[in-house]
Amino acid sequence: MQPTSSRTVAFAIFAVVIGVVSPLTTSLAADEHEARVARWKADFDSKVLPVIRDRCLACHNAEKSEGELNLARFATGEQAYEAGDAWERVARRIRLNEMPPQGSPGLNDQQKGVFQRWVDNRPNQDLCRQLASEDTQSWYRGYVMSRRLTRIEYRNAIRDLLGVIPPVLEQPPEDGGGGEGFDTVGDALFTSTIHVETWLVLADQLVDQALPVDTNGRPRPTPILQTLLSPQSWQHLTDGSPEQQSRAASELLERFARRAWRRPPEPTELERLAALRQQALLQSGPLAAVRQTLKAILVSPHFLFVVETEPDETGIFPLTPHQLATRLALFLWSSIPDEELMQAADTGELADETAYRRQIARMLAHPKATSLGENFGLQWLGLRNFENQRPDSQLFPEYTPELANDLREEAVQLITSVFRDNRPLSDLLSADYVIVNSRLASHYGLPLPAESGWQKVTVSDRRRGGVATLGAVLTVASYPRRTSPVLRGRWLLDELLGNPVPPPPPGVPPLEQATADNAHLSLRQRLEAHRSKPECAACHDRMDPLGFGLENFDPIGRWRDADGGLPIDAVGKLPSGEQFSGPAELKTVLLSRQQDFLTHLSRKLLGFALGRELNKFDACVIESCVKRLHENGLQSRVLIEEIARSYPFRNRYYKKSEPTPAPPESRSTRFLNALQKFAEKSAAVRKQNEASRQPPTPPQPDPEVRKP
Amino acid sequence: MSHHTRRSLLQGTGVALGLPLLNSLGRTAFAASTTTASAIPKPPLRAAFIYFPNGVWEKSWIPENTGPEYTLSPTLQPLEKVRQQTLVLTGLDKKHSHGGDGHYAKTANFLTGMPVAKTTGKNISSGGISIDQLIAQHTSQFTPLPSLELGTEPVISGIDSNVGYTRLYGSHISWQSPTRPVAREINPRLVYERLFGKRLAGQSAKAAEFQNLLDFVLDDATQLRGRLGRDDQFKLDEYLDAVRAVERRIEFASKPRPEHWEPNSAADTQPPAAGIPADFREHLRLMFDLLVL
Repeated sequence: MQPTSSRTVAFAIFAVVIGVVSPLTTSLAADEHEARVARWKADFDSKVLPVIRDRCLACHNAEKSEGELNLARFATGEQAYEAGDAWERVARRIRLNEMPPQGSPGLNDQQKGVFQRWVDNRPNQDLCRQLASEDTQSWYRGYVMSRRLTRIEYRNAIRDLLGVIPPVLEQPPEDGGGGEGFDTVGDALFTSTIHVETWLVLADQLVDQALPVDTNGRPRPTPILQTLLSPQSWQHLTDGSPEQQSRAASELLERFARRAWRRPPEPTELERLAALRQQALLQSGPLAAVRQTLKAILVSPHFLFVVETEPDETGIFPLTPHQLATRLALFLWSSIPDEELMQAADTGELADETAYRRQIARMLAHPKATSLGENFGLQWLGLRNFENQRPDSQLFPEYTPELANDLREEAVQLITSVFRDNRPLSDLLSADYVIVNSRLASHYGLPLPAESGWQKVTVSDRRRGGVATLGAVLTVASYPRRTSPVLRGRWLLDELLGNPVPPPPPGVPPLEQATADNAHLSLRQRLEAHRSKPECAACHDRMDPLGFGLENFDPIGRWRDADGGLPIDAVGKLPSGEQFSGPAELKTVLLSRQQDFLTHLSRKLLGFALGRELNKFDACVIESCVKRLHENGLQSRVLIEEIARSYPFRNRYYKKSEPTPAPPESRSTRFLNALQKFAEKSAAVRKQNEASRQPPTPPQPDPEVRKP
Repeated sequence: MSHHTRRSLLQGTGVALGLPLLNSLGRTAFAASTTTASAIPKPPLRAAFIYFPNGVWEKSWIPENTGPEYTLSPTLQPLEKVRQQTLVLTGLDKKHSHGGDGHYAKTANFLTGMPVAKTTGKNISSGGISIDQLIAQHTSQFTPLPSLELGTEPVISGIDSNVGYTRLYGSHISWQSPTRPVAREINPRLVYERLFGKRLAGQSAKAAEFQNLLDFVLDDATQLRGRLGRDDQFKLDEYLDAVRAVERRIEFASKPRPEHWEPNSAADTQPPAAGIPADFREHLRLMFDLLVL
């Protein structure tokens, strides 16, 4: 329930935002817009609807909803208008001759023209400088949730704070994904007992490890910790007078907390830290007491959660400089801000465009930006769980854990280098180089002296280069014993071009299984037989030809000219009429769909950076990313900058709500404290209610907060 | 415990169980634990739920006849020694597993029996609490850990954009509430250390330190919670609940009471080697061994 006053304020703020950023929206323009919308709706009723009824509804009706698309929902122009972006996807499938599928009656040129013109004329709302909120979207999904650090972010943050890395096997469990497919989405990040146990045990072990004592009982901090105090203060920490000890400890705790919590700690928080140290001093020496307090900082939710606390009102507000710095560091480094970024936040410098860009450029050039390859890249390409890939060990004894590791690392290196070196993003589709070490080079049949480390190697024939021909991708989209043009084609459409293919309808027999009557057929012939059925053709006509273009690569990504004694046939023909043979020509086709690729990559990177599912308001950011990329030779840094500078990245929608009562405390002291707070609050509420002469409304316990 | 009691439990909860193996495993665990010296308190009856994907070959799984002298099916042959204590339940098909995509909608509700929300992240829900967690709520006072969640593979990453589900549904069968999956441990060594309280309460001084730390961060979290919006508060409640669970664990482990049963920590129980075994069968065997400790 929103009190009326706060509702009014929310609307007022919203109106101001619109008013400032789109001064061109005069009433005249608004009238024009209304007229366009009306015309567009009328066109649907008179021109488009008949085509849909005639050609689409046989499959895309409420009952069948093939491809998860029910077009019968749109019976009027009004309903069609509500559907918004959905029409872009329909139009693309029609444009590429993918729909209606072969074997079904298709659209003639005139019908296609009608449909395409109608979609192109869709009246666009100006969404660029808006963020979805409950005022603008009833099904609002753009809210970024306060969330815990992911497994990778936790590891990196500990590394950057303490200078030690938690052992892989003792890190918290792996995280799942949500939103646009990434683990940065708060909705899909949960905290279990195992997490708290792990954080506690690791804080204990790693702080001791980062701050050991030498034989004289003096601290020997890791270089990264050492920078937090002057040599003299370090000495005072154990050898000084009680006052000196206390001063040095306070200094260390404040600086460490500032770094770990990504903001200057509040005075009350510093008092509590000091009290904790005092308490520990009763049982142990000065250094152990400091360690104990450092551990508390690392188990605190201020470290473990990305908290963007709420202002007092509902509405859209810019992030504070420290919140923005944290988002930027999580985006580019999957870690916390370093000292330089923190200082830029302290001084308010981040509000300055030039300084902000300078920070981005600096951070991209930093070795920590490897996380763009390791964290964003592997999740985007579907390689996060690559170690679970198990090609048949009898057919492929060459596939060792070391090779698997190199295949994964190659993907990390390629994506990292594209962003670090500000390469054009088209390098990801097709490039004249690969990044390999000697083991991988010999796997690929490239000349490189034994014992060579990771390096760029030029390939002139375009067989390799880009993500589609990464050994890891080719392996992940194969079966353990053979390749699959279907899986590879699906991978290209889904992960690279962003045109997902629906799953096969239930009851369809496994596609490539040999049966008595088709045993004499090759894989290609069996696939072609399968595609002769219209319900299969719709998807397989899109997937299979693309996959056939990669048939020269075996199930573990090696080049081959023959399979089972037969020469490889790597010819593919798409519904659009495009024909190609082999990976080099396939890449030409991919480059011709560069627009789809750039849109998809922008979408993925934005979804990763924001940590949520995207909505129609974000489409504008994606459009402007693609536009700016074209203006700047597709330089990767432009994409990062556009996202980091975008409205949704720098602003947050806050939804103020009455705090729900916390679950009861487990220990009696805290319970009493809470009881007292509750009593005070109730008294305040009573007083307020009496003042406004309204019947008292006791705070309602939230039904969803349950405790056994 | 008689079969009758367990059957009443199943009926009483009203949750359909899809795993015929349940009782045999509960029984195995029971049998293994009773071999310890009689001075040790009687171990509480435990329940185990094992999920394995892709189903079974029914013809080799379901026994051909019923009644006390039934014959075990070929797949269940290894249970011959405990056949008399084993019940094979059939007809536990779940209505809400018929819709939705196979990988996600049918895994996440394995122990909830409820419809799974179709989503790539927002409002994740398995429809209900899972039966293992429901049992754990009622029996947590008898065991050092209310429940153990084990697995052999990491959580599957990403979303499935083709069918519109987050893949994490395919990685969780244990749900503390409809909206909160319970993380699981895949490293046998860490399971062993958790089970015996070695990580948290190995030394009493350490346990006291941990208690102080947790007290401190609980206050942090309670204060922070008041400054958050509603959805964010729920996220912090997960943290608060987990911190309290760890506190209880430390209390339990640092103050052993004679009437309490402890896992079988006889000297011959060697901790598993560090790391995850490369061999899948070995990994499975270790995890099962840990189940019966």
